[in-house]
Amino acid sequence: MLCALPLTALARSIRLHIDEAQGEHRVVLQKFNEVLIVPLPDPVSDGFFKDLNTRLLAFLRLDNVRGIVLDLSSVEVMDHHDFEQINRVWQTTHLMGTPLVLAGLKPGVAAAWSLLNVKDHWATGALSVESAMEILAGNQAR
Amino acid sequence: MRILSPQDASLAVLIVKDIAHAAGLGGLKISALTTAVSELTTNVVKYAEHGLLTVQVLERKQLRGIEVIVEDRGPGIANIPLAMEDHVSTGGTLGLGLPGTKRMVDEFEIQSTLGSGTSVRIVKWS
Repeated sequence: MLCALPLTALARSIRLHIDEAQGEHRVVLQKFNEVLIVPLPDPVSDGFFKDLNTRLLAFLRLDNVRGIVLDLSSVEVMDHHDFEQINRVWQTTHLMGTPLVLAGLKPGVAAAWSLLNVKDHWATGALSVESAMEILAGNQAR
Repeated sequence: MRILSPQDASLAVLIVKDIAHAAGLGGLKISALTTAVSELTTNVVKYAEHGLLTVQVLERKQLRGIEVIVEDRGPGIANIPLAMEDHVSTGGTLGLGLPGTKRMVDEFEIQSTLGSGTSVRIVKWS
């Protein structure tokens, strides 16, 4: 049985989402205490990851960076394809000798990745950007 | 709605999320459902180039469910049982999309004919 939903509200939200879904991916890098913080947009796109890899390589080569935090706190949906993209970012930064921490993974995303059975979860996780910074500070102290 | 591009896939996810929320599904169930939709629509864009997504709200006794059907006229799947195993992929990926999708939903049906296309029906209940 089809259930009725408020159509005007749905139409309004569809309009908003069209803008969101077609919005340009923009890589924003914030540097704090020699740590690069990268907020991921929602939705996240292949174009964003491609630009991110390029920007990170340039930054790591030219600047003093002791760690990277990928801030996933805004991302509500990430499928296994997105997981692979993050894996590639990790491989890039790992080869450049820079640790990477995933911060703010939403419970829904974590649960979905678990059900998707993505293994080889190599990256360190943290509940927040602040916790991620502490982890990286602890790594440096060793 | 038609799925022609990654942007359409993203839009489909957002719309399904809104409908699921309006239907009263909880947060984790919405996450599972929208991730499943993302998997299926990404497959359409990657393997079939274009497809169609339909979504409707179901009612069964006291429960509400979201039914999503994603169909395409792509190459089809040669061996469905094999495709439903983890880490089997024809596209160079991790091969977790279809089996993972099945695990994330309450009902999962797939039909595919080589050369004609694929149809996947999923349902997530509240």
